[in-house]
Amino acid sequence: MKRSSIKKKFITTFLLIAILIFIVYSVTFYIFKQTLSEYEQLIKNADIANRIPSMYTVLIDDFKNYLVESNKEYEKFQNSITKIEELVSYIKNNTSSYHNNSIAQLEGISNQLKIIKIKTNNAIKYRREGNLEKANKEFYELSDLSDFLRENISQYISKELSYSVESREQIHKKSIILGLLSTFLIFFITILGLLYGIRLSQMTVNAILQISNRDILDEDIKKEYKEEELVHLNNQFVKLQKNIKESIKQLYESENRISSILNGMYDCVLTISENKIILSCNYAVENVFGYKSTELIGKNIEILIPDINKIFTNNSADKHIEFSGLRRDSSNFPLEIGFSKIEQNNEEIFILVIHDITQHKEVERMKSEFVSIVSHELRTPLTAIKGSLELMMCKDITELSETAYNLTNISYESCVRLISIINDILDIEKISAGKMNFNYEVLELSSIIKNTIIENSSLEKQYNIKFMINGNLPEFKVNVDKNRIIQVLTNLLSNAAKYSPTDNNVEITLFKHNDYIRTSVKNYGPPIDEDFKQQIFQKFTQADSSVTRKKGGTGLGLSICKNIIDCMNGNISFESNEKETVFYFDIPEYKQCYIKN
Amino acid sequence: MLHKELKKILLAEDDPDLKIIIELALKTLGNYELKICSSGKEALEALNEFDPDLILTDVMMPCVDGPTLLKTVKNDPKYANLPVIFMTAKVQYHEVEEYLKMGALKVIVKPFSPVTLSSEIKQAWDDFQEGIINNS
Repeated sequence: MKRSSIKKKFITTFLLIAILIFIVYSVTFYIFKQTLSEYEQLIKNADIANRIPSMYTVLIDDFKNYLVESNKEYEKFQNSITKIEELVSYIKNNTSSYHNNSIAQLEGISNQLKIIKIKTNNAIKYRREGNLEKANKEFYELSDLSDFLRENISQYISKELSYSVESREQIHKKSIILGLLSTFLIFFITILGLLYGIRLSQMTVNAILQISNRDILDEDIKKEYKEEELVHLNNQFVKLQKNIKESIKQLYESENRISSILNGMYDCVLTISENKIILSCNYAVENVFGYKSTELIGKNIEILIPDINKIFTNNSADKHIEFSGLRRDSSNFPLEIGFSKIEQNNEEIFILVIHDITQHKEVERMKSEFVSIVSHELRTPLTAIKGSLELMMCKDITELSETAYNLTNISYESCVRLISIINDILDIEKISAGKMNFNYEVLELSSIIKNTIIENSSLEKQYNIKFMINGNLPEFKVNVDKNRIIQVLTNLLSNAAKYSPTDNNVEITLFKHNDYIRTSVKNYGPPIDEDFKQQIFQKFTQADSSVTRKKGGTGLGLSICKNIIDCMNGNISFESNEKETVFYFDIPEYKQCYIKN
Repeated sequence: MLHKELKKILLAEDDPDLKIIIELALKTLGNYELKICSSGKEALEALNEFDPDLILTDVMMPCVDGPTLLKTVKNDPKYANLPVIFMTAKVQYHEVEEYLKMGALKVIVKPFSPVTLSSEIKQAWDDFQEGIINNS
């Protein structure tokens, strides 16, 4: 179905009015112009007619001269007559057909002119023949005729002039009537257009008003509007209204859901303004801080978290910051804040997710204590076991058979491994709790390396390898925790010894690499598997789980080493190929101005 | 000034198994004269009678623990210079540091090697003597 728009209707109406006004004006103008031209023609005819008698007088005079003086300008004389005839014929042709009297008058004049012509010819003929008497007679008759002619012309002129007066009056009347008529018509058409415009806009407004006031399911209303575009408009409104209602419903449901989630949370979710005034909060504040959520709106957040300013000055990427919370009963508790901000109406609003970490702290403390106690409690009996086994193998105390000695040795080695596992677990626990302490001091690295190699010389015998220092160890000063460096190096030496082929060297090198001092431990064992390279510094990883039994270790060693070296602002890495495997760690060289955080 | 030789060691250890092991390590292997006490309290009581050159004590013991024993000994003008060595399974850095600050001569970490225990103590004793000589 073709729909015409309201806009199109307005344009059509406007064009129609414009065309109608143009037609009215054109018709009026045409009629007026026609009457005017008729009037002008009348005046022109009268003017021409008025000239004829004088022309005729000249003609008679010329003719008289011809007759008397035998003037030979005969052609000029005849031409004058023809000219008069043409003028008469012109007037006749331009006289309105309904001026019968005038036309009859003109026909008479024409006939008289014909007679004048004949008489003139006769007079000329007689004059040429020398018969002056006859010529004079013709001439006098001609003179008489000229009187008639004059009279006829003056009659014609007077008639035409009376017509012109009539015509002028008609023009006057017509112009008044046409003026009034066209003004009225234009006025009428304009009023009509205006009324139609008002009607159209009223219909549109009514439609919109009714649509907005009635129920969306009321379909009858559509029938009132026959205008297609209004029906279309109506449908669009119904659709729009339906969509808005649906959206509001969804929004309401979503808000309900979100507020249920927020109020069901254990964590407090607050929004605060730039000047730290609480704008909203969930029910969890009651459990966490002891205030009702409604009590807190409009209050300063500092009544809950006195040191909240820390959050605005914190520049670190980590948006979870630990704070001390203040409960209603003035008790303090640890909390963590998740912090973000949004912009609303050109104002910054901060969203705080407050997590009470009292329990978490307690669990952390208990875990730390548990690990400490367990390791302590394990160490005491292990001390007895290890000590007993060691003494059993000591020839100064007891003499064991070879089998008994070997079995005791197995027990002893396992015991040592168990202790090492406990130490590693303790270290990992400390690292994960961020409690690994470092006792920094400026030391000479080469002496630490030498001592560590000596301390681990038992590995040489155990794995049948040889620790070899490459060249003379240069002297470099570093700011490190000596025991932790020994721990890392011991780990690297032990790994190298384990994986080195027997009767081979494990080479230790110390050299400067950029601003760092690099300590590297090289063995000529099999290369590290490509897949394993990615996870070598992760917890509990070993190249092959069967290695654990063969070579010992928990798979925690390198993870601990990496953490230690990272804490010392260093870097630990490795290179492995078919020929050799090198593990190395870089420590920043100590400079006088170097300040350790 | 000549080194004073280490002869008499007063041991305070509540674990009976460790007592046996330490006895073997110090008495049999180290040839030291050893007085074994099961608690700090017992050690304090034996102090005057035994008159040791050095005290080797466990840290965690009922009633009078290692640190208390140390404080008490150091507060007694007669024994203010008596070296005390701690044995402990609490091996965290700050713990060891704390014991040394208290005035312990050395902290032996459990589990220790009984075979090298006597030489370890001897080394600490020698260092201690060296310090006395240097200071005087």
